[in-house]
Amino acid sequence: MKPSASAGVVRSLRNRLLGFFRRYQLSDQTFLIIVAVIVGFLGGLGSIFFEWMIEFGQHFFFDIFPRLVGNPKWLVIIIPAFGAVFLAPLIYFFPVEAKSDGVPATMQAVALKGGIIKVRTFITRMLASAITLGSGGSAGKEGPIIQIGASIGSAVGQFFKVSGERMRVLVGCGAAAGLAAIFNAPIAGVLFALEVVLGEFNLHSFSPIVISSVVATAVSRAWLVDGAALKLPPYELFSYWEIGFYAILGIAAGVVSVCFTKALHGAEKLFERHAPVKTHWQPILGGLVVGMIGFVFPQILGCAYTPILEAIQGNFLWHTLLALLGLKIIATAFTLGSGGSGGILYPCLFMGAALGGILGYAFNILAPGIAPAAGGYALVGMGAVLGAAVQAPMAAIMMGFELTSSYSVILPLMTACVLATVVHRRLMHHSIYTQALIDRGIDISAGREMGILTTLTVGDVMIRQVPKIPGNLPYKEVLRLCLKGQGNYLYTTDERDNLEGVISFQDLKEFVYDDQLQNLVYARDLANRDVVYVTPDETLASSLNKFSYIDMEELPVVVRNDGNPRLEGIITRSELMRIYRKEMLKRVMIGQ
Amino acid sequence: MQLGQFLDREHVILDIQSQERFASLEEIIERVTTDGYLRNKVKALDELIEREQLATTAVGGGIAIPHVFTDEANRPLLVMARSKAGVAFESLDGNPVHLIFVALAPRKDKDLFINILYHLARFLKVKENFDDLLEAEEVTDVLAVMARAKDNLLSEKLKRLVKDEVYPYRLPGTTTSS
Repeated sequence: MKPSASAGVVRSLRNRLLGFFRRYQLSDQTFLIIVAVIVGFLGGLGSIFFEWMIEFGQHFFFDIFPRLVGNPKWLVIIIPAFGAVFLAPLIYFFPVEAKSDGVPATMQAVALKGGIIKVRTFITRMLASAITLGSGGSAGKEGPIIQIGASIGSAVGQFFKVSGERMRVLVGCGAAAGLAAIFNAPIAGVLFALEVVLGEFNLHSFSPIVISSVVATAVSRAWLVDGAALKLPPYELFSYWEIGFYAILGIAAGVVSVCFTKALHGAEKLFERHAPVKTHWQPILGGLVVGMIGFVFPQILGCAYTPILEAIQGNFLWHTLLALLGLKIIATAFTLGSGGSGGILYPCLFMGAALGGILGYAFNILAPGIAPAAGGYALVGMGAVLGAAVQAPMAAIMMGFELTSSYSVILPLMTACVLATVVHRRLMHHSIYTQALIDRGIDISAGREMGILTTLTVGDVMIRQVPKIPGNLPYKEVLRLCLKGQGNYLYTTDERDNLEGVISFQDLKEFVYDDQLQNLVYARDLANRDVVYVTPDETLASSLNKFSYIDMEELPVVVRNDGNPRLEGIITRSELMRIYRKEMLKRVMIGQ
Repeated sequence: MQLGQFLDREHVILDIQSQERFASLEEIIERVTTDGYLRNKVKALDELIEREQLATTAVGGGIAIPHVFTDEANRPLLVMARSKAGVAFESLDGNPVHLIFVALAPRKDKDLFINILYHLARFLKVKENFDDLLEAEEVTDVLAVMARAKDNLLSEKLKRLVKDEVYPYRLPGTTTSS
C-alpha cells in the first residue's frame, strides 16, 4: 500500500468514527471511555506482543546462539555484551527513544509536551528493550511496557485528534494498560498511572484509566502465556508484633532504594563523562560487567520472576541474598547506565525480595516466636523498595496486595511502604524517575508550571540593554539619568564592565537637588554592593526563586569571567511573567 | 531632627595628630566608641578608605567630609576631627584640610544620610560656622556651634517615611531634640 493510500484509509476511518460519535451526541466523558477501551485493548495486545518479543530474544540469545558456538560455559559472560551490539544501531539512529528507562520520558511528555509521544518511540522502545532484556541485561520489562502503552495511548489520541487534558488522560490510560496487563494487576496499573505518570489524582481521568486498565488485564489474562506474570504465594501475618519488624524493613528498604537511585544515576554520569567509547557502543561495556556478574550469579540476569519466588520461598541462604542484593544494584546500574533499555520496577522488586529475605532471616533468629518465616518479609520488602524508589506508595501497596491476593498483607505492606517512601524522601529529594529528569535539567515535581520555567533559561529572555554607569559618576548625573531613564535601577560597573553594585531609586525616596553635594556624593556611594544576580544558563525557575526572596523588580545577568562578574544584561520580573504566560498560552493552544 | 544629634561629645577630636589622609582616618575611626555605633572598626575603616580612593571628599575650603554607607554602622553618625596644622587630603583646591567630618550610616538610611551630607556641606561652607568650629576651645563649644544648624533634616515627606518611634536618632551626650 502506498503511503498516500494508507493515509487515505486512516483519514476515512477517523471520519467515520468521529461521524459516529457525533451522530449519537456523545459527551466528552463517554467519548473518553470509549477511546479508553480501545487504548486498553491495544495496550493489552502490545503487552502480549512485547512479552513474546522478549521470549524470542531470550530464546535467541540463550538457546540458539550458544548452540551455534558450541555451548561453552563462559559464554554467559559475553551474551549481554553481544546483545548490546544489536542495540548500537538503534541508539545511533534514535538516541533519545532507545536509551534507558521510558517512564521519565513519559512523565516528561505528559508534563511538558501535552502528552504527545512520537509513534516511533513505541517501536524503538519495544525493539531495544526486547534486545536488552532478551540478552540478559539486568532491568525490568515494566518500565518499557508503560512507555509502550503510553505511546499507544498517545497515538490513539493523535488519531482522534484529541488535545490538551484529554491527551494526557489517554497517555495515562495507555501506561495503566501496559502495567496492568504485564503484571496482571489492574489496580496497581491505575494507581501507578495516576501517581507517577500524570502526577495527580482527579475524577475526570480516573474512570477512563480504570476502564483501560480493566480491558488490558482481561486481554492479557485471556491470551498471555500462563506463568509469564508474577504470581506470589498467599501471605499470612503471624503476630501483630511483626508490624514492628516490618517498620524496620520499611526503613531499610528506603535506604536500599536511595542506594539504588544513587548507583543508577552515578553509573549514568560515569558513562556520560568517562566512557572510552561512543554512546552507541557503551551498552557493550555495561553488558560485559553484567555478564561477569551473571557468570557467578545467573539469578541477576534478565527479568525472570523465578529468583524472586525462590527468595520468598526461602531457597537462598542469607549471604547469597546479600550478594544478590548488592550485585543486582550494580548490574542494573551498569545495564541502564550504559544505555541499555529497560525499567527499574522489576529490579526494585528483586532488591526488595532479597532485602526482605535477609531481614526476615535475621528477625527469625532474634524472635522465632514472632517472626516464624522469612517469606512474608521478602514479599513486603518488594513493595517497600518499589514504593520508595518511584515515590508511589499507593501503587506499591496495591501491587503487593494484587500479586498476593491476600488481604492480610495490607497492614505490613502499608507500614513498610509508607516508611520506605518517607525515608527515601528524607535522604534525597527526588524519586528514581524525577532524579533522571533533574539530571537533564527538568523539574516536574513542582508541576507543569515549573516545567515551563525550567526549560527556558535566563539567556533566552534577558534584555541586553543595561543602564550601566561608572562608579565615579557624580550625584547630579545619577539623578538626571534616574529621572530620564525607563527603569528603576542603575548598575555601576568598573572599566571592564564588571558589576559593582546597583542603585535602586526606590531607596532614594527624596532627592536633594543642590550643588552642595557636587564632588561629595558619587554613584558608588548610592549603590548597593551585595547584589543578587543570575547567570545566563540559569533556568527561569531558579531566577523566579531569587525574585521571590529579594524585593527587586529586576535582576542583573552576570557572566563569571575569571572570577569577575561581567554584566551582560538584565531580567525583569514582568518580562519573566510575560514569557511564562506566553509559553503557558502556547501550550494550551497546542492542546485545545 | 538636626545635624547636632549625630555628633556624640565623645566623637569630637580637637587636635588630631596625623597629618596624612589615610592615617588621619585611622585615628578618627579609632576614636569611635564601639558600643552601639560600629560593629567592626577595621572593616568600617577599610570601606571608608576604599570610598576615599574613588574620589577625594575634601571639597575645598579646608573641609573634608569622608563618608561611606556601611553596614558596620548601626546608625548614622558623625565624627569631627580638627587639625590646626592641616592634613594633606588631596583636596580639590590643593589646600590642607583643617576640619574633617567623618560620616557613616547603614544602607537603610540612604535618604537621611544624603540629607545629612547635604546639610553638613552647606553648614560648613558658611564662613562663620567654619571659623567658630576652628576656634572652639572645648568640646562643649563645638557642640554649641553644631547646635546652630537648626534646619530640620527631615522634610515632611521624609518624616512620614522614617518613623521616630521606630528609630529615634537620639545619641548620648546630645541635648537638643527634634
